[in-house]
Formats: sequence, C-alpha cells, structure tokens
Amino acid sequence: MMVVLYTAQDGRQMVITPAPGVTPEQAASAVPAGLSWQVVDSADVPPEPAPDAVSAAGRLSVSGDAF
Amino acid sequence: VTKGVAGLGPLATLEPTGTADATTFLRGDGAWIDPFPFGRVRARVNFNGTGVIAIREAANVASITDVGAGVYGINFAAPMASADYTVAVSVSGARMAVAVTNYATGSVQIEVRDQTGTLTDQTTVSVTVFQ
Repeated sequence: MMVVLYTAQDGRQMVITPAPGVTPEQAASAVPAGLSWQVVDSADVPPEPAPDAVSAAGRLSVSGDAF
Repeated sequence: VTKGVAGLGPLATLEPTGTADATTFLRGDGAWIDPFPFGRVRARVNFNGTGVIAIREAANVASITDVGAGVYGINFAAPMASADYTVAVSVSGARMAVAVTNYATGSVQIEVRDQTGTLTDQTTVSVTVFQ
C-alpha cells in the first residue's frame, strides 16, 4: 500500500492513507500548504514514537515554606 | 401527477402538496416530502488505526491521517456545508475516551485515550458524520 509521508511544522511525521480508489497524489491534498511530502510504501514508514501520558505530563510539583 | 403501473395505464391523478425540488420525494399520498428531515450521513469510515492506518470501508472520505498515537484525521472527499456538523465515533477498545478535537469543513480530527489519559491506537475506529 502506498501512502503519503510528510513532516508537520512541529516536526512530527504524519502519514496519510488514501481511501480505496484514491491515489496517493490525490490524498496529498490533505497535506497543509507549504509542506513537502513524498509517496512511500507503507512498509517503509517508520514507527511512530510512544505518546506522552497526560497523567504524567499534568502532574504538578509544588515546594516552598508553609506559614 | 398521474400515478400508474407500466403497461396498465394510469391508476389515479394526484394533486401534490408541498414543494417539489431536488431534495424532495413524492410520497404515495401525493405530498412532496424531505425523506431525511433530521439530516443525512455525509461521510463515514471504518479503519484500522494501528501501525500504518488502513481504511476498511468508507464513503465520502478521501484519506485518513495518522497524526500520532491515538490521533486521527479524516479528510472528506466532498467538504461539509459548514463545520457545525455532528460526529459519532466508536472504537474497538473498552473503556476508551474519545474526543473530537477539530471540526473543519474539509476534515475532522479525533483523539482516543485510555483510562490513564494516554493517547492509544485502536484496531477499529468508526467515524460517521451527519449534517
């Protein structure tokens, strides 16, 4: 399966999978304007990084003197 | 309007009520009606959201975008009339939280999180858009 690979402005790599009957070139219309893209075989798509957990990211640590 | 059966000739003549246009149908009692008074399905897709995401079945969907773990974009083939549409999402995982994080006329974005709030890919994601 051929897919569209592009890098978003924040550096994340995005993959666009065309629907049946849609060419990768047509699917590339979903790439935000100004970003370059390439058509690659799905077997060549690198695995996406593990997500950050909200529960960990949202944890607060507070320190100071009580009075 | 004359109702009839092919080969048998006319059976009755109706005086239709209501308004005939490209969206109405003529009911048996002679009324022009909107067959979908509560809106229609404007797009739908069922896809595998793990690995390189892949569409199983779709209508009015040109492509899907793997934005990151548990985050998917659905790109419509024909845009919605406005961004104020209704979205129904279901996923294969149990006890998952689903959020629609961006409504646009050309696409919709959804997120799936597990009980710890971690964005999580799903084996089956189904999205239906009504308007």
